[in-house]
Amino acid sequence: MMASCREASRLLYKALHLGLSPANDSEYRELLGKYRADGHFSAAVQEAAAGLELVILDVSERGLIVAPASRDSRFSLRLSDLRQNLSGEQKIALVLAHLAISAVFFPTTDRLEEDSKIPLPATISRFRDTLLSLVSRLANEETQTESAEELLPGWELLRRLPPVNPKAERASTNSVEGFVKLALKQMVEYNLVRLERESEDETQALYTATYRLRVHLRELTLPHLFELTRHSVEL
Amino acid sequence: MGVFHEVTDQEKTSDELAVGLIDLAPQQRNLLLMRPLFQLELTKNMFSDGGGGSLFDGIDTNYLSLVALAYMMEGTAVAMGYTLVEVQQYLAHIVAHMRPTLTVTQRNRISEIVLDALDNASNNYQEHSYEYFDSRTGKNREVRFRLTTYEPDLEDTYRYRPTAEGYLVLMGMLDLEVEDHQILVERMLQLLIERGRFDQAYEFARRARMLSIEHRQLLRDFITQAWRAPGSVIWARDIGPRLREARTHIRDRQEEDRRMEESVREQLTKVDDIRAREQLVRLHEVLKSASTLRAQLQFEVSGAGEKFMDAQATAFRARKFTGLPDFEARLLPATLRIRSDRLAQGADAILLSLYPAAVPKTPDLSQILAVLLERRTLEKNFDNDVPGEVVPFKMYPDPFPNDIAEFVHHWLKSKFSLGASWRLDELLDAAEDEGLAVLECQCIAYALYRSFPDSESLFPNMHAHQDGVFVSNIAQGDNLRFDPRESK
Repeated sequence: MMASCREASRLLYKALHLGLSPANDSEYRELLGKYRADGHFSAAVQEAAAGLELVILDVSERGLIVAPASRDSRFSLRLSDLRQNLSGEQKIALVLAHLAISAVFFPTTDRLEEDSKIPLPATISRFRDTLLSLVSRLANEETQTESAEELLPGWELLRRLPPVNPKAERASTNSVEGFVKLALKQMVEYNLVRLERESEDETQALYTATYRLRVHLRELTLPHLFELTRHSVEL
Repeated sequence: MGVFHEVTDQEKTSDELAVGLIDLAPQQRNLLLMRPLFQLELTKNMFSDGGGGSLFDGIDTNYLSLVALAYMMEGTAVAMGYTLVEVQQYLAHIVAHMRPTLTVTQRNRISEIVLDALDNASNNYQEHSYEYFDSRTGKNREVRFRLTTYEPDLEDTYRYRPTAEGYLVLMGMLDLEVEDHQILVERMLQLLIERGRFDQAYEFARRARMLSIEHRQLLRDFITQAWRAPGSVIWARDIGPRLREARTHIRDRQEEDRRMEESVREQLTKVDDIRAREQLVRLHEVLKSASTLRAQLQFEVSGAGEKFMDAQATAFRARKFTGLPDFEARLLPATLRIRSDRLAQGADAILLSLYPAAVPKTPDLSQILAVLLERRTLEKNFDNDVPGEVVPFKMYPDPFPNDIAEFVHHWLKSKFSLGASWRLDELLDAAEDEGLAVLECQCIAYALYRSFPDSESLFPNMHAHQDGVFVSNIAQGDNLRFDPRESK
């Protein structure tokens, strides 16, 4: 029993280490094997996860993927970890940049759910242009009305931003490209996106999605987004 | 595209309120579009030349702004606009005509200020935004517009172009329809070719060749998209019109190329000058390579239907049922349509759902300050029986109002733009000599200390070193020296 508790927490410890892969860690591999083979052990891991306010999203030979059970969890990211002092509009732009990046990698539900379909690598311009072309399409489709700031749709906020700041040397919060770069930087740091091919010229750098991004989108973000969009239509 | 509001039927009911007023909307629009230019002309004397005089003495900013827009328009004729460096260099060249005594740094600085004014750089490159009285509804309304766009071309090189509003400014009060600019550009090119300007003719041919590449790229993009996300590309809406455009393009260009090739051959027999002959040979090569490209385009146009069908076929296979709509085609557009207030409410949850469980980081100093200044909302189920003390939240007003911070930033930027090194104490002395208020001097000291680490610097072109100590009645401590960085 004691050994099982120790191993259960050990597996969670490994799962919390974002850079760790079972391919390079034999203990991690063994614990994953035990999780899948031993019902008592998997129940112990789930109990331990619940105690730590964690939820298990996926288990495979690629590792155990855990997420915070709620925003109050000690393991939940704070928005200030991504960027401090964001205004409401900046927060929306950052969210939309994250979603556009994810949509480039997983454009269809089919692609998201078929693990064998590996997302195609993409450059910063691809993410930026996906977002910009969607904004301009929506702007052409919808009639312009004069509304209070808070009633404007998300695309209208993005349309007001310049596509790029001519003098920005790093990711900044005053252009669409700046938000894309900011989101990308954080997604790389948290192992959701991997830099596939580095380049001195950042426009040539290629990024690809990790399995972790696929799982988070499938299990948490897209169902949540679906609810949000449905709710907004109903209101 | 700026927004000058159309009056809706509902709004027209208030016409009675506005009886007796004349509708001057087009004139108001023209006036407001010029406002960024007027503002620059009004504030130009704020910029010092570093020697006690005004940087803009004898400089006509209206001409510079208009010529910048005209140059960008010219750029759209030969490519997709001009790069930032090209526009700046061109403006600096014009400035040299206006006042030859200015140094290269000062000319560059002026061109930078003019571009900044067109771009609304002082307001973070947001749209220009002004209020006006709308006589049709009897209300004050807001107009927002840009004069320039800075967007990537097909090779991802960022280029400046005038926006529709920029063209209107350029065409002044003629009140032409915006689409007419295309005709202007074409006429300009026709004129160049008629005058036998082979260099320009070469550029024109190159651009036509680029257009063929653009058409090929567009078709390929749609086919790739059809393959990535079957169902998101509709033949009648997306591919059909592109094919028609591509066919028209091929037909028009073939006719034009034939004429140009004939004239090139004719000129080759007449011209003896070696340089002119070289230009003609270069032109001939571009024309040849363009016709190869168009043959490929022709091939892709005829094969597009088959490729599209192949891509669509992948949509007809068994899938797992999840109930979730496709992300790119449905969920993302639906999210973009959500009202900002609702999107803001859900933003934290969406963002946090994307990120994994992470071990909390050790906060740095700025995070600690952010946490200390965070004002939490009062919990609804607050339990009054819990012992404790309620302490009023103390507000710490920002010591430097935005207008002072902005003025100081510009003041320091103008000092640093002259290309010399400055010490903190020298800058404070200069500020006092120029009669800046105590609060402004304090703000200068704060801005300079904040700019000590390169990562936080407000002046990316300068690098700070510690250089002894200083004492003044504003501040005292380590002195900082700011040196210009070596340009790359």
